[in-house]
Amino acid sequence: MQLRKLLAVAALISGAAVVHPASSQDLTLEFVVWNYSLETVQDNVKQFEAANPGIKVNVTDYAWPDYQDSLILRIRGNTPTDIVYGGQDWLPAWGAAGFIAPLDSVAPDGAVAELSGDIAGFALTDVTYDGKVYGLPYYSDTISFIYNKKILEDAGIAVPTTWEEVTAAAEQLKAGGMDRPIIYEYNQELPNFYDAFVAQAYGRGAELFDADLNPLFADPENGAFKQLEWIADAYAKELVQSDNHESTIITAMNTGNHAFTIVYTYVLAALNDAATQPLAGQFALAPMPGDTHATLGFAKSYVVTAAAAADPARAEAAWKFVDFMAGKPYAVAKRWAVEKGLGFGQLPLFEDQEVIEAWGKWADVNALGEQASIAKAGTYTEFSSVWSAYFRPLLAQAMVGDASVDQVMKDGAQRWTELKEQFANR
Amino acid sequence: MRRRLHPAASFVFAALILLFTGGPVLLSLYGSLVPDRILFSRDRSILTEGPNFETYRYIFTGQLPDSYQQESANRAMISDAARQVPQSLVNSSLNALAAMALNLILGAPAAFVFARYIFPGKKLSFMYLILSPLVPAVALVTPIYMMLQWFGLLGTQLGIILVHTAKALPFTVLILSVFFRKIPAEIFEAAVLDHCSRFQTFFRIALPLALPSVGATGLFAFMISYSEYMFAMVLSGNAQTRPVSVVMAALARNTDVSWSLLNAGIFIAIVPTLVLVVLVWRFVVEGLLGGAVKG
Repeated sequence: MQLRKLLAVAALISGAAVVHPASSQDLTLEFVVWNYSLETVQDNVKQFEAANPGIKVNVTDYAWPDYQDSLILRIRGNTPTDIVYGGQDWLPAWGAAGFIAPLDSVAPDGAVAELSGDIAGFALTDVTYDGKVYGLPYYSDTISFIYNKKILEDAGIAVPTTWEEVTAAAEQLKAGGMDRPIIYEYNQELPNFYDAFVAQAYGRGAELFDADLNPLFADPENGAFKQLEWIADAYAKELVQSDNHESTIITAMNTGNHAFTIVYTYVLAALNDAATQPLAGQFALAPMPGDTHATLGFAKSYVVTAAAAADPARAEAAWKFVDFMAGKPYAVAKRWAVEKGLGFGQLPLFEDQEVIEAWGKWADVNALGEQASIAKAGTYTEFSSVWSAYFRPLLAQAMVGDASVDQVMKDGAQRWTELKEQFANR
Repeated sequence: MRRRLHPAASFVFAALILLFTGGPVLLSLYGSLVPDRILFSRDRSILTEGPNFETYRYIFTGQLPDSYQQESANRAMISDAARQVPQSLVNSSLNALAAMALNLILGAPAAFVFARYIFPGKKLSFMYLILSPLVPAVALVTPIYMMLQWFGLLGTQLGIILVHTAKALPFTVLILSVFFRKIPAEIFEAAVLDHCSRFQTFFRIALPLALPSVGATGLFAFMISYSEYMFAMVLSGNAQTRPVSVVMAALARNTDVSWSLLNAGIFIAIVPTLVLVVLVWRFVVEGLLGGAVKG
C-alpha cells in the first residue's frame, strides 16, 4: 500500500516536470543572465515580446559567482544560447575562443557604429575585442573617490584634488582625533582590489601598458608606481583603515569615523541610502585625485553568441533584442538607472531629466557625467585574470610594507611579460 | 575505569555546539525582524523599535518594505532572488520526495537481490555501486550535463530528480542490503516451502520486516536530495525549477542586497529544514541503528 503511494507520487511529479515546448511558429531566443533583479529583466523581456510578435525570449539565470562557469558549460555543451550578459574581463577570452560574435555580423550596416558614438569611451573599449564591437552596455560604472562633505566642512578642509592633498587632509583629520581618515577595500581576493588601484593610477595620468601590451608600471616615474608608493606611505603613517569588502565600508563610513574611500560609484548610492544609512546625504564624489582626474570604468554588456549569429533568423532576432535592450531611445538602460540606480554607458542618459531627478538624490549627476566621459577602461586580455590573481597579493604586500614597491612592480611586470609570451605561442 | 567528563566541561562543550549551530539561526531571525537602518545602528535595536515583518511581506507579496519607498532609497539593494525562496522550497520538497520514492522503488529490490541471491557479477556490480560515490561530484558535472541535455532534461525537475536518485542510490542499496542480510534465512526458506515466488518473498516477507529501515533510508535519500547543491545549480536553470539550495547560495553569496532581506530569505529557507530535521532525524537514526544491531 505504501509502495503504491510512493509510485503514485513519483508518477505525479514526473508528469508535472514535463517541459512544454514553445509553439513551433515562434522563434525562441535563449537569453542567459546573472540573477540580478530578475523581475525587471522578465518585464523588459515581456515588453520586447509585445513589440516583436513571433519572437519569444526564454530567460535562464545563474547566481553571479557561478555565472561564468555555468555559461561556459552551456556553450561548450551546445546548449541553445543566443544572447548573454558579458563582462569586460571575460570578453577577450570568449572572443578568442569563438564563443561570441561581433555585433556587426548580426546588425544592419552602420547600426553598431551609430550607437557606438553615444557610448562612453571606457564602455566602448570594454565591449570591443580585436577591434570589433561585441556588445552593447547593459550596465556601466566607474570607480570614484568618495568623501564625507560634513566632515571636511566641519574641519575646514577643501576637497583634495591631488594625492598629496589627500595625505595632508588625512593628517589634519588624524591630528583632530580621527584615527584612520581613509578606509580602503583591502582584499586581495577581489578583482575590485586591483581595479581601485588602477583607477588611482589613472587619476595620476598613468598608463600601465603600452599599445603593444608591454608593462610600463615598473618604471619609478610611472604614475602606478608612484601611487603604490603613496598607498604604502599612507599605511605607514596609519592614515588608512583596511576593510575587506565594500558592503562593510558602507556601514563603516556611516559611523563618521572615516572621511575618504575609493570604491565603485554604486557604493555612493548605498552610502547615501536614506532607507538604511544614518549619515545618508553626507557623501559625495570628487574627481579622482591626480593630474588628469581620470578613473577606471567598466561595462557589462549584451552579447550575441556565435551560434546565434550563424543562423540568419536567430541572428536577426538577436540583434532586435540587443537593440531593444541597449539601443536608442535607451529606454531599458534608463529604466535600470531610474528604478534600480544602475550605471549606464550611454552618455545621452546623463542629460535625461528623469535620470537626473532620480540620481540627483544621491549624487551630483553632472560630476558623474564628467567622470564617465574621462574614465578609461582597464586592460583585459585572455590572460589578464590569471595575471591579476598573481599580482593582487603582491600589491597587498607592498601596501602594508611587507614587500618593497620596486620589487612588487618588477615581479608583476615580469609575470605579465611571461604570460603574454605564453599566450602568444599558443 | 572510565572517567566521566566534568559536568562543567560538558556544559561548556554543549554551549559551544549550541552557539555555533543555533547562533547563526538566531542571528538570521534577528536580522530579518529589523530594518537595515536598525541593524546597522549601535543605538537602536529590536528592543527599542519592535519587530518588523516588512521583508517577509516583500518575499511573499512583492510589496517593497516601507523604508525603501521613501525618497533617496537605494532600491538596487532589494534583490528579488529572495522572492524565489517560497517556490524553491516547494521545488526542493518535490525533488526530494520523488528522489526518495525512486530510491526505494529501485534500491530496495536491488538491495534484496544483493543480500539474498547469488548471480554472476554480483561482487563486481556491488563494488561498482558502492565505490561510485568516491568519484568527486565535480568530475561528473560535465558528463551528466551533456547526458541530460541529450535527453532534453536540462532545466527540468525530472533531470534533477534523476541525478539525485542516482546520487543516493548507492547508500540506499548498501544500507538496505545490510538489513536484508540480517533477516534470518529460515524465514525465507519457509516462504519458499509455502511456494512464494522471489517477488512475493520480497514484498510479503522481506519488505514488511525491514520497513523501519526502509523508512529511515528513504528519509536519508530525501535529505541528500534536499541539500544537494552542485548538480542542482548547474542543471536547474530558472526560478521555476530551482531548488532551495541554489537560491540559498545565490542569496548568501550576494553581499550587495539589503541585509534584512537577506536574513529573512535565509530564515524562511532554513526553518522548514530545521523542523524537518527535528521531526524525522530521530527516526532516521533509530531506523539505521536499530537495523544495524539486529540479528
